[in-house]
Amino acid sequence: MRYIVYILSLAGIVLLADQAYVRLGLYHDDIKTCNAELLYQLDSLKNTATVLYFGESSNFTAAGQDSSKHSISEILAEMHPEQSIRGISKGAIHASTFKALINRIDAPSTVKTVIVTMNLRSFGINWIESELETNLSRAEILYSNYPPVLKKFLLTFKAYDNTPLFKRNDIIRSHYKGDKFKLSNQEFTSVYEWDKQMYDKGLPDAHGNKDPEKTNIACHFIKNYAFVIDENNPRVRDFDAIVALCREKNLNLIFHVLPENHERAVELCGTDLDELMRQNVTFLKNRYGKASFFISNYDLLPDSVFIDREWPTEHYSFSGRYSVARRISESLISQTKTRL
Amino acid sequence: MAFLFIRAQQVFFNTIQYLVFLPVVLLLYYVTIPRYRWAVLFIASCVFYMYFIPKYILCLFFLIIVDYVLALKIDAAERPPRKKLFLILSLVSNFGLLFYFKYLGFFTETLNTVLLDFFGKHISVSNEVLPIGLSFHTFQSVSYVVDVYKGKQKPEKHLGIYSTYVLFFPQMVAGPIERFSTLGHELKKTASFSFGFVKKALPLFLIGLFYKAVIADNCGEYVNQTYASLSSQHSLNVLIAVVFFSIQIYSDFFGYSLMAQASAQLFGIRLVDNFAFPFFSRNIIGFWKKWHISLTSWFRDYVYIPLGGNRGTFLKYAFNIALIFSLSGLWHGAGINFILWGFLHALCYILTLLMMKQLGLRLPAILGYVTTFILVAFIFVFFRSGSISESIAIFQQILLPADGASFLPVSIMLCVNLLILFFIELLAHKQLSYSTFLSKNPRPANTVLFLYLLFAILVFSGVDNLPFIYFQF
Repeated sequence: MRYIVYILSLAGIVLLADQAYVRLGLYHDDIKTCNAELLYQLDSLKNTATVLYFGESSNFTAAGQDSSKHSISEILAEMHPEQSIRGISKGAIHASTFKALINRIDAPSTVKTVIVTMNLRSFGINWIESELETNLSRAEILYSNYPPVLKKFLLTFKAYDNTPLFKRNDIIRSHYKGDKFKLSNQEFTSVYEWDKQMYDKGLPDAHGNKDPEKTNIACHFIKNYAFVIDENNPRVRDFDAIVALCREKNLNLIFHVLPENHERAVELCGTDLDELMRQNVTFLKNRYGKASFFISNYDLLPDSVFIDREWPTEHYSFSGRYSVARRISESLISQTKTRL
Repeated sequence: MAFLFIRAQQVFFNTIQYLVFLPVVLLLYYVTIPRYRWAVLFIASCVFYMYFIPKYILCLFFLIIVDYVLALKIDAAERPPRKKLFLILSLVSNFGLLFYFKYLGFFTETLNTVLLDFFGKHISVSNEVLPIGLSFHTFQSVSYVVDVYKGKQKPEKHLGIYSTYVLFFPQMVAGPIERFSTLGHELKKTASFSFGFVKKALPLFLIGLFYKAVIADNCGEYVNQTYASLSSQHSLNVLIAVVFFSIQIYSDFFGYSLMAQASAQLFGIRLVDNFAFPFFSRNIIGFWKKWHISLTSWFRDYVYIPLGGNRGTFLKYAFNIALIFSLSGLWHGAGINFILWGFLHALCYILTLLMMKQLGLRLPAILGYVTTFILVAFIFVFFRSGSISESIAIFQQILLPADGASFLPVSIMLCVNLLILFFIELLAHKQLSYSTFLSKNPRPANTVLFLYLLFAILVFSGVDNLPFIYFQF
């Protein structure tokens, strides 16, 4: 009898805690602290939008001189007034976040189609072990469908990937050395070798001297794109899970590979890097081409539309965002014809 | 249930991994025949340690072997110079490793300032990550060898027991710094499982978690937020942050110590009390009898008393006090700010001694508590800051408010929980430990307390990823 009273008391406390956590506004505070506001965005859109566009900063980042600051998802919405297309995006998020968010779209929902961004760079170890990862992983607890008190419990007990930064850097370094690839024109087999040679030798400026800035960018390109995607890549596992989730929830799925600055990659690092990146796109196409509507925009854009010049990013000027939106729009139309 | 499969890189008391790790080890411990239970604890401790940086276990194994062998040699040696030689060898190994990991960077940086000024050259700075708990287990190992040297302790012949004494996971990374005479004895006991252990351990763990998750982490969020943009902060924010940091570090470390005690208790092993409600001290002397007791007693037994303690002139006595407090500061971190933190405590200690002995001045209890808290809080500024200049900036910010700075509000729920904690400590402090307090408390009162603690942990705990502060030492 005594134990029954104990168990009932405990259950009572947990239920009370669940109510208090939400009603005292602490759940809302935690959502803010953990930068998980996408939760509100998704919860408000899943019952109004028909198409949800999931992306990272490539969706909304605009150049200062852009004629329009509209995001890719907004341009897409303008192209399809008959649909209610809304974007859910935040800087640095990736497949794991998309997966957690899509998991929240439960019936009844107005959402019929999800468009999911595939950023090649996000498959690389630099992004996988980014210093932002701990916070992103923490926010995913809040995106889950667990009761608020369980989310709080999981946050309190750090039930997320909270690998310290020095360890992440160690992991990155070991992948730079350990992950092997084969290039057609050069003998390097790892990021470490290629990056070291690039750094030591450097790229020449107009006068034939070593250009430190150009060399630096070339090293960044190598570190961010020189890898081979395989089925063990954590992003691949997440995209696999997204495919399964969309099937389960009966959602149309469009994957679109973001345009990369392939021209600059060739200019800085030679055709080898471009080849490696194309191989990765092919891998993704082979893996997801049948399970989803797959769009590859890899070489859609010229160097001139890429905004950031000191770091490889997928940030485009308005014309770039417009082109991406147009390609997705074409796919959306074709998908509507074939599936809806 | 994906959270059960997350990558675990650190298994600390307030992680989901520990909630799985501890019951598994417990189960293995009690199903193993008593003679080999040390092996379960030894392996579990290695696993616990290796989650952080696996290769560092080799440093620990090296020290374990060195100290184990040298302690046996000291005992076997007949001539005192030989005993001394083995002792010195052990001290050099222990402190050498500590110096390499913890102080070499600081030492070379300081040396570089001189080298750059005079010779225009510099030495590359070591930036090795500090093995967790290095200062703690170094002091623990040293205490064992010195005790054997002094004849206070027979050397342990069982390498497994000795290794487990150094590695015992509940206290390896942040103490309490145990003596072999107590923990070694406890490890040899082979108690059968008793629900009494759980009954004693769970409340302690819950209280410890309340200190850490509800008090320390929430105070820490405020402190971090304030210190991150110090120059634009309202002076009141900085003042609150100064007060909150002393509450944070106390709750963080006391919480850890309670959870360590609770974890050990589940194996029927008792660890020493590391805190005895230090903020209920009338003066700084009382404070140091109740704060980080295992470290203070280590310095007392192995540095202060060999130096002569309070014998001799007052000047000699004061010098000894200043020395051990400064060393204690240095033990905490390689930085002038830590040494100054220790030295300021020494200064307050000596002044209090003078006031009490020469003037016969004793403050009334409440005034004493308040004065001690204020002193400790302000001296902690040096502990929290990265440098002396940052500490000065904090004091300047309190005295010379920034223009247009807005007030950063303190959460009402944090204030409520601080008030509740204050009342709990007010009731408990005369018993000097929570174990005694809980055992004397009526059962319904304990039940209400535990239910509240559980509720508070589920509702009010901080969500920022703040590791235990003392793990860095």
